[in-house]
Amino acid sequence: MLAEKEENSIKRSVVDQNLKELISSVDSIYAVVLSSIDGHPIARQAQDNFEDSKLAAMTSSCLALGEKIAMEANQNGCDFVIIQNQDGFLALKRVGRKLVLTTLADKSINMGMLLSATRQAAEKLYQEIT
Amino acid sequence: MDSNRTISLHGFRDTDETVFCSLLSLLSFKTNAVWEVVEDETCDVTVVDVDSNQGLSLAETMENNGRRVIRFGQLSSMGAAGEMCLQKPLRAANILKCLNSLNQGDSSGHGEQTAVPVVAESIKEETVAGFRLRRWPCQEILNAYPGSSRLCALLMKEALTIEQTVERSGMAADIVWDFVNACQQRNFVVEQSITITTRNRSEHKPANAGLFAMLRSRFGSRG
Amino acid sequence: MAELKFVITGTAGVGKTTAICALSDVPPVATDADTTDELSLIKNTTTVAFDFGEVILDDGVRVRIYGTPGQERFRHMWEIIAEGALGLIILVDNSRPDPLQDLMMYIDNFQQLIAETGFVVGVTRCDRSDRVSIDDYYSYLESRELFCPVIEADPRSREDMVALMDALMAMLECA
Repeated sequence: MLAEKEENSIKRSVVDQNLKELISSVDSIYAVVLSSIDGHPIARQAQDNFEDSKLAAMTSSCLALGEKIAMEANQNGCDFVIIQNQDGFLALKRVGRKLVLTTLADKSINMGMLLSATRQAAEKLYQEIT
Repeated sequence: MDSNRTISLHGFRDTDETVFCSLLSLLSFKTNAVWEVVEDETCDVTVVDVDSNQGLSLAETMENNGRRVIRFGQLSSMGAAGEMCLQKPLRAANILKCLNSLNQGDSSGHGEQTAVPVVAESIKEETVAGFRLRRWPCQEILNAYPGSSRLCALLMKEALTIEQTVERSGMAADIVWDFVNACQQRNFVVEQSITITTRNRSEHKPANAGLFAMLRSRFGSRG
Repeated sequence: MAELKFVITGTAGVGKTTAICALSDVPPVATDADTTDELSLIKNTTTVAFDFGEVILDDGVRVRIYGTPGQERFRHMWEIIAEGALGLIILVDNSRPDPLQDLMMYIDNFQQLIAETGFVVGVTRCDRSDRVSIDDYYSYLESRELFCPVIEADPRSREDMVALMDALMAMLECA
């Protein structure tokens, strides 16, 4: 596990670079959070001050629940869990076995844009760090 | 002082009804009257689920006709402060408070929301030896005395005399004695002097019809 | 809506998911995720939302048993799961450094449920450590004016879990 942690710290710059690319790719995206699948915050990029530790735990619960509900409904391959609100959107996407990527966008965003930017970042992250 | 009262439920979901009836039967030791759930229109009080428009207007109609109504619903759907209310989710303490304040003998239907002291009867105080469980007995004892977890629960909460334990559990005195003895041998029980007030309560319904008893028998039956 | 629901909470890795498997009449639902922290020394996955099992009574009524995540960072789920529950089982791992502290954390967080309903404490892994005895748990609870059953239990044993449920039901009946 220690080795894993060390490896993670080496990959920190790769992670940060990817999150920066994601947040700057679309104006309406105002924060991105990478957290572990069991609810620990790992890295974030945000336009303003942003508290991510509680969000990390909650997205972990939410993604797990979304995946279970999809299975219960006999729909395979849960791709995104999307929370659509009056003020904007959150898109949750799993990255490999151990990570979750959460993108937060304001209401002006086009949903397709949000999903495709999130997907691209998730796939790139997956290739580069897992 | 115990009297029999009837209560009916309107517009309840099945689960609410199950929980209500279970709690009511469990509370039978604590209510000032013996309550029976009936479907009869002429009952003493009606509990109406007011979270639907239908329920709400039924409650209003009944109240206007001078019937005793307890409104059951989310806090937001409750009426004026004077009305009898039971908030969701159902809680034993709230049911008890509602029923006992109803039973105060006010005829207006605008019951008071405050807790009611236990009805004064011929009360006599004396200090006697009581027993209290200092820890939950081992499975061996529990198995040897079927139904004894009820005794344990009673004696865990407070020190009681054997007579009180018999009265509250509805179990036979010799079994209660044997059980307490067995617990004493294992040092599970302590003696404490307690002040008891004797009241002349005439009737008790055994509290075994409820959900919790069903769950226990379900588990018990599979072993 | 009133739900017939009981909640099992307690330390991460204590066996809450296992306990629900032991009690449930239906295949339980588990929302588990891979562990990425020190907990991975003990187990590979951990509950992040809830576990769910059902006990079906003789008359067909279904009683739900929810297991919570153990870690404090999942407190948001504790509040959601505790809402409207009829009773609580707290499982404590006796081999941890300070099991009484662990117990206190759950009692504090589930305060409202405990006050409104009732709870029992199941103590696991007593064979691994006897630094804290069952009597210590009772003394601790008494100091907080809480009187509830504390029972040694192995979450893998259906018999032990049934004993915990039985004690909880008895306490609730006499509430």
